[in-house]
Amino acid sequence: MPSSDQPILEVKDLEVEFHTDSGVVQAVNRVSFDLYPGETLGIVGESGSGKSVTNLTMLGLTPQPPGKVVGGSVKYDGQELLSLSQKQWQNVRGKKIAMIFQDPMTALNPFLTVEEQLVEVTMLHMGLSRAEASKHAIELLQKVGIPGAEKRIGDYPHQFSGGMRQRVMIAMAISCQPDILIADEPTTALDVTIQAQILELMKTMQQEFGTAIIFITHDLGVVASICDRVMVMYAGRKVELSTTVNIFKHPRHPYTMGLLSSAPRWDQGEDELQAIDGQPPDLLNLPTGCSFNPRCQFVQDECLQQTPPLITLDEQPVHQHACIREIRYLKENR
Amino acid sequence: MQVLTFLFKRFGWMIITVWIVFTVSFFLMRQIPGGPLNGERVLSEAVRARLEARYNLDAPISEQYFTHLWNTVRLDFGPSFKMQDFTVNEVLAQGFPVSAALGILGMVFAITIGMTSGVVSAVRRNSVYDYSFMLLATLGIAIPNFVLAAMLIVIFVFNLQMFPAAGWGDISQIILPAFCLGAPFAGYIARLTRTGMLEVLGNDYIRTAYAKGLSPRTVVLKHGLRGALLPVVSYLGPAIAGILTGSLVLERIFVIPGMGSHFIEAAIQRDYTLAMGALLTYTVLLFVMNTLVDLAYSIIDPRVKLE
Repeated sequence: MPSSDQPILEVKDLEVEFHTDSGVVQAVNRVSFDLYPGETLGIVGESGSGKSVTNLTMLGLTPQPPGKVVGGSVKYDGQELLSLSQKQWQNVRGKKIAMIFQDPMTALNPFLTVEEQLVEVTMLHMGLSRAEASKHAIELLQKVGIPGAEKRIGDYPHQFSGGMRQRVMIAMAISCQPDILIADEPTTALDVTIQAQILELMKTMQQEFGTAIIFITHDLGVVASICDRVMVMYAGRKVELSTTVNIFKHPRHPYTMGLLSSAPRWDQGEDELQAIDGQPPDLLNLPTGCSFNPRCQFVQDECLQQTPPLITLDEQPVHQHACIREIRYLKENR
Repeated sequence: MQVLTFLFKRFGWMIITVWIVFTVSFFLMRQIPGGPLNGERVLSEAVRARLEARYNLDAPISEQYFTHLWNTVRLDFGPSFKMQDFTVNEVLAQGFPVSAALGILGMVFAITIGMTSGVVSAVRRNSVYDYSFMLLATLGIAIPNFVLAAMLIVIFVFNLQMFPAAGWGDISQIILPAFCLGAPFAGYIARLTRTGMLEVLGNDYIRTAYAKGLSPRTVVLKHGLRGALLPVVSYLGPAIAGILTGSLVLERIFVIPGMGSHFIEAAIQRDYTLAMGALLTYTVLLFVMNTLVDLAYSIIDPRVKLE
């Protein structure tokens, strides 16, 4: 739940394009959202929906070229990020906004010790001496639950297991107590039991430091257990945004509904899982009208002609969706 | 401890290798028509017999083999056939430091020029720097070093008069030959560094490093370079072998009194002892260098285990 009225991060009409050999791809299409201090916002969508690009843009890390931010604004604490110089970005990255990546096997440098990779952040941003930074790093490793931290700190990443490496990544990300932590599928590459531990750890860290977390995932189980609010993305657009409870109880967009019914549930017998029909969209040739129309079970003529506007429902908590049909009733009458 | 076992094993292999090289070249050299006593002057029978006795050439070939082998084990390569009053050990002791100086300087040129231009090319990919460095690298690889030597002599010795044409003993005399020696390797190393660096810069951990707020310089030099070094380091083994053979030619062009010229002379004039001495020196040198390369590899990449 938002613990303050002032958002720490305001993203408005963000547009990111990728210029590829076969044409221009609109990877992020006028996406807006706010992030409040201390909350966890989940961003859900399939591969290519633009969720990762959106978040890399918040760190100025969209690969350029081929990527290009063509419009919109990203404000951190009232300060515009998209116009920052390379030097200014360096003061934001790792210090104010930190990131945890999907695969801890490849996201840590195999040539440097864990200590080296931890101390370089705090020496840079907090101005610690080498000795202070080392001490700080050991404390962090203890905090994220690495046994024998004093000894293990001199080890190389390949000497740690996957779960332990992700703990190291988390320690690295929180080492300067950033205001925002972006976690890009941090549990996808891990065993289920380890996933739970990592989620638990992130929650604990959030409570201790009051960090706002953006949690990118396609795992709805993870969303339900950790996120306060959820944004659903499809083909570069925000198609639905509300509180987690609201999204799970009253999904308004057919894509969200599809996602929910395609997730396995223990309380719904042994019926076959319902998959969303069709293929993820080809971003180079998006269908006219609503991008989801070829796969939508409620499609009608209008959906093929006009791109559905984002509708903000007049209810509390805030619920936004981009579908012109009242599928809630359609579903009940089916 | 692990390192000691590794070095011990490598030493054992080196002894075996040296022995095989010794045996093969011993018999090969004697298979080639002509011998150390065939010269422009026809020797009388009596002189010939005395000389053969002095150099132990009249003994049966098996006896010659074992005597020579035993002397070699004691690191005594015997007298040179052609350079009178000199033992092979003395000739090598004079020539080796010269060749080593030339080779080391050539290697230093190759590594510094190659790696710098490789890193710059990778970081500024598809820029003017990239294209010009890679063009130069291709030229460096393609042009044989004796052609390059001739061109540089024309430019720097005759036109600009910056360096002396040949000789040994002064700093100004070593620069041109060392540069010619290093040029093709600089080209290779530049290409290898560029490819290695581009591959490394595409890794996830480089993105992590940027996400930490590190400057591009730190990211490239601290997080990128080590990975990009690996292909270069594994190339250094063959490169050192190439530097050795390259210096044979260049020592002749620039009239440098190194081992290379002695080696060629010895082979042509059937100076069995000197040729063997030079050959075994090269063998040991190559072996030591390759061992050092493997050691360096394990120091750079902590995941590599020495076997």
